Amino acid sequence: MSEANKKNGFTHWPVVTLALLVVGIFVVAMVTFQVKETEYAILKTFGKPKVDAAGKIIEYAPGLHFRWPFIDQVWRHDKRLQCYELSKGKHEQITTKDQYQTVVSTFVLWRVGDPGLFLRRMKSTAEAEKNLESVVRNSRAEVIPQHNFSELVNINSSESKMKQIEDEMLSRIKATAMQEYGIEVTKLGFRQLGFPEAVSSKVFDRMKAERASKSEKYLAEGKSEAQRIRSEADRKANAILAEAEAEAKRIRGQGDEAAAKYYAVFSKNPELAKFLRSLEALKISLGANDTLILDTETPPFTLFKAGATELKGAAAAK
Amino acid sequence: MSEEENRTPTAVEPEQVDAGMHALVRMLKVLFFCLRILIILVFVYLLFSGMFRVDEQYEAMLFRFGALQSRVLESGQGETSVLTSGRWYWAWPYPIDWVKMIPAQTSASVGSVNVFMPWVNPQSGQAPESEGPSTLKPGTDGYILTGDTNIMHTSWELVYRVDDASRFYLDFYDDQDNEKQSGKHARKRGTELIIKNLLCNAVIQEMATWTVEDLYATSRVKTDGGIENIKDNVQRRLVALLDEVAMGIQVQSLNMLNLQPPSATAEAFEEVNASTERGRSEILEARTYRDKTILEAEGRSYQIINEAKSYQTKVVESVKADSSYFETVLREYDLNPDTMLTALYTDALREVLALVDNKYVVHKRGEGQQELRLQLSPIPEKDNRPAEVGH
Repeated sequence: MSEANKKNGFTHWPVVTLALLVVGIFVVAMVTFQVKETEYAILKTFGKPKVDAAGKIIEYAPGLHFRWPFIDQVWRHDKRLQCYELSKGKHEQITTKDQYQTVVSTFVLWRVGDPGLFLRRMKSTAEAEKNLESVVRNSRAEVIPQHNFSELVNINSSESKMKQIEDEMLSRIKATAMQEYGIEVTKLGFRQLGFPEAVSSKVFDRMKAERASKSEKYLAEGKSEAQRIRSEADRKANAILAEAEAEAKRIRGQGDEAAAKYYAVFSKNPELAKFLRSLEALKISLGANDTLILDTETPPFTLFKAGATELKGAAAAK
Repeated sequence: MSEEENRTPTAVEPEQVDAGMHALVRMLKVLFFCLRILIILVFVYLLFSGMFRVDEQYEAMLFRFGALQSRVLESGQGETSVLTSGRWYWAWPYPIDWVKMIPAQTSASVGSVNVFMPWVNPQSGQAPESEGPSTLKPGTDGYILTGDTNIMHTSWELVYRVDDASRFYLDFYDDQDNEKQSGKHARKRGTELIIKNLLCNAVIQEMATWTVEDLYATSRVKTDGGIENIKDNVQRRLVALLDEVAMGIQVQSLNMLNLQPPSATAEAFEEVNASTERGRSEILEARTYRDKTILEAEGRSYQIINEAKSYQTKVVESVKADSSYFETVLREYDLNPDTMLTALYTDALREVLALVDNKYVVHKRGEGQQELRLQLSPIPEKDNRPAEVGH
């Protein structure tokens, strides 16, 4: 290679580097595969999962791993918890132990629990959900008929066993789903609970009748309470007035008692006292609209009589 | 190699080519120069494109070849896989590194509107009739059953915040990831659906133990005498369910947006409300009557007692004054009885005569009855003329 050629080769290092980089990336992409933190990955060689010395399917940890190009294929599945609301059996009519027709809807939270088994038994997530649906419906159909409707719906919290029924169904599903399909079910819950369409109209009739009864009851209760309040108020008012009258009598009595001490002085001359009281009574008893008729024998109208200017005393003195 | 090098434009001897070749060589030189510049720019871009900032509303996680990367915390508090918000970070370009942003600081909401509410035809564009359908179709119309086996419609809204970003993303299906692969119409099965179903489950479980009346009142009296609230109870159940599955979210608020009876029974419920209101109105009127009656009685009692006190004061003071007056008069009377009596009498008569408007003085004519005709009633008009004296 000449100096000129060497110089030219050095001059073209970016092109060479880029070419090497592209080739390198291509090669790395061919012989490696990434496993995300959120997924399970299993290598299949000619369609058969790779197993370790113990015959167990190898699960690859998150990161970059080697594979033979064209020979090894990567199977992946999300390993996070996901929700399934069921498809065909989303709303299913089930009869309870006490012959109530109910329509229930449930959801399950599930994830891949055993990737090896899941890979062997399931082709896809859709198939997994289809099988899971079957398991859930079976469990529902077995558990709910063993319980009374009042264990689902009850105003007494201690008698409501909805949570226990859910747990009972979950415990039945868990083992089957894991052993048969490699699916780990972590939660099962009721999503909706109701009646068949035909029953709902009967429920409406009952609700209307109940409401009518409640309506009358509430009105009667209101009136009764109002009457009680009124009578209670009257009783209290009478009691207050009676107490006040009693107190007033006591006070008046005290007044009369105190006054009686001063009456003793009138005993010094009862006639004079009587006279003074009579005068007092006269002043009080007459008013502007009264008519007073007096004769000339009544002083000072004796002055109207003849000889009124002659004083008896003066005459006597003469 | 040397042959290949000889084929490059720089290896061509200028004297061996014609003018067209010269032009081509010059053009290729320029192109190669541009390519170099471009490669350098690409390197520089790759170097700096790895810089990213985690916004205030987010927390992030950095994955290298799919594996979650941890970093040592500055204060020696161990390692964390969460990139906290408000800071700059650097990552290799995809597919070596990739970053997942989790909206951990912002609030998100989930509602239960479609689950427990009746189906309304969106095409109709009209409000439902007052007397609605006489049945509810399972799977189409949503509702809940109350503890007293009534049917009710309700809707709830949960506002939450992610408080453990790594758990929220790594343990629970992310619909955004699925949308990237399967498109916008991919079936939801991730966090939002999980939270919504847990909310529905909590609502069903709690409301199945309440009566309609208590639900309307939103509270009830417990067996121990305390008061419990429907919202608090549902929230308590929901938090327990979220803890059970360890979602890494924090409930910020939970609200019952709506509670209504089926439209077929709405009239009956309204009648109950009307009766309840009438009953309350009766009670309110009775309470008003009670307050009025008792206040009046209290007022009257004060009046009675005060009158008695007034009487007490008056009678004592009056008698005291009378006795004092009597003693004074008695002293004068003892000195001169006739004069005193006459003076007292005439004084009293003068006062009385001054008070009375209608006065008649008649001459006594000997013994026997004397006829006198006067109009006593109705009350005669007041006459300013001086009183006439009968003769």
